[in-house]
Amino acid sequence: MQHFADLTLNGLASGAVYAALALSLVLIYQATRVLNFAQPAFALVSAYLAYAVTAATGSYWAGFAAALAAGGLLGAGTERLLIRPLRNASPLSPIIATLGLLMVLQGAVGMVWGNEPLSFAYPLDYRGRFSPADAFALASVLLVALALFALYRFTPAGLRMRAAAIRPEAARLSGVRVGAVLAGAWALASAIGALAGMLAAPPFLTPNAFDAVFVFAIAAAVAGGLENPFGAVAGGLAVGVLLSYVTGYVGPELTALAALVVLLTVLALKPDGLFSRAAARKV
Amino acid sequence: MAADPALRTEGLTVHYGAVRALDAVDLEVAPGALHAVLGANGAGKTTFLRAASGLHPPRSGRVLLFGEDVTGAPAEELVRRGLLHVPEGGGVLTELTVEENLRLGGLVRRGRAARAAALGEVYDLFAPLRERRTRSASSLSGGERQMLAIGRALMAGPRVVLLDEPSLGLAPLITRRIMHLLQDLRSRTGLTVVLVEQNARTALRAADRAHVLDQGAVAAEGPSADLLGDPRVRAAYLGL
Repeated sequence: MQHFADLTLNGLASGAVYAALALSLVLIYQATRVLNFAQPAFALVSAYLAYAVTAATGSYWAGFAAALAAGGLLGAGTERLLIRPLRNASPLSPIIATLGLLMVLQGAVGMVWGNEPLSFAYPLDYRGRFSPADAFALASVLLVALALFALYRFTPAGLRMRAAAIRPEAARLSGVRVGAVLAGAWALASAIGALAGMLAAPPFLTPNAFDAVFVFAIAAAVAGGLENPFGAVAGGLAVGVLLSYVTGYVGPELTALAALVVLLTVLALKPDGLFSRAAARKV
Repeated sequence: MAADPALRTEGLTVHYGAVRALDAVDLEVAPGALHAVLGANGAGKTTFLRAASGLHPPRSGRVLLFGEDVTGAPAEELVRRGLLHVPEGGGVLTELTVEENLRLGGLVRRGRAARAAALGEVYDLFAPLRERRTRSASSLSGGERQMLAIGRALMAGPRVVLLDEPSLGLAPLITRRIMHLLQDLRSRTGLTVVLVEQNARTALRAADRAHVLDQGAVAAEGPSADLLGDPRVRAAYLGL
């Protein structure tokens, strides 16, 4: 029973990381119908920048703030320079573009910081079962999800974002500056992706550190439904707990396989996600 | 002329690829007028509205709003200068509630109080919308949807409203109510209305003046009564 409780708590803490990365994928998909494969690279660049800022200033939190800012800038810049020009291209083009960006950024990180693992600090004490660092991961992601809900539901900015995502032309005719709003959605999503990177990086950071996390995040986003931010959070936590059980009861060598099984099962049985509503949106 | 026309186009020409959809259209609408733009399917009526409202940049020609050259300004900026375009079918966001649609329209206004006052006025004007404020916009009937579309445009505090086929798919009684409402708005607030219609009889009954488009060019223009009384125009362009 003790073992089960430990596995559940550990699963929730790592699930929070998958949830944050899944959330960033879903927010971007909702806004612009693009699955952003460069998202782990944004998180990677942000984490390495945080490492550099923390090394220079001696403050973990200065590095943390730098990571979120860098994530936001990368997101907005990518929307403006890479995605917007492809607005009228085939749906495959932005996917290829983000895949290319992923490789470029991963390569660049390796060139700047090298491929050797760098020792990366935890935000808080990481010792013990469900440590303060674990609690921080879970609490920060839940807080972000709540803040997002409030933003979308109750603020003018959220209303503009929803309108720009649903019907860009009708939104323009109501005075919404759709381009700026979509760049803002990318910035917000990518700052959340950078948060995921900060939570996933310790104890060691390498240019491929987020590859596995990204696979789990995609599984979480698909399980929750690509258009449903709350599905992404729930999916992330569920995938985290499930993988923790697989690791604990079966063996760590099957963890990645279990994530793929989740992905395939959801796609086969409920392709719109476990939390999808019946009605499909007309495009 | 004392005042600048509310809306004026000079030689407005629009191409879709190699096809010339609008050919040198000159049009002038006086402030406070209810002006109809008529023509058959594909005559260029919707293209004219899209070019005037900044959705589709014209190849050549100018658009003037109260004497100010706004050619090439994007639609979202023209909204801030008081030019509102209600597209065919209303462009209502069916994923949002009735009130969210209206609030969206009012976001270009500055200040919470101004937005709340505008919302109250629109609800006074369209009582059915007030009753259904928390409902999804997808639950509205065709007539209510058109009310919501017009209400959302009014939320922005417009000086000129461009309406694309507001009567499309609506019962004649509902269409008449909407036309009366537009006339009423115009006389109470001095709003300028440009009405694109395929239904010439309905539009000419409501409008002061009209332009008739044919294959992208102006085929006839004048006061509504004159157009209605001209047998050549009636037969060739209005199908009356």
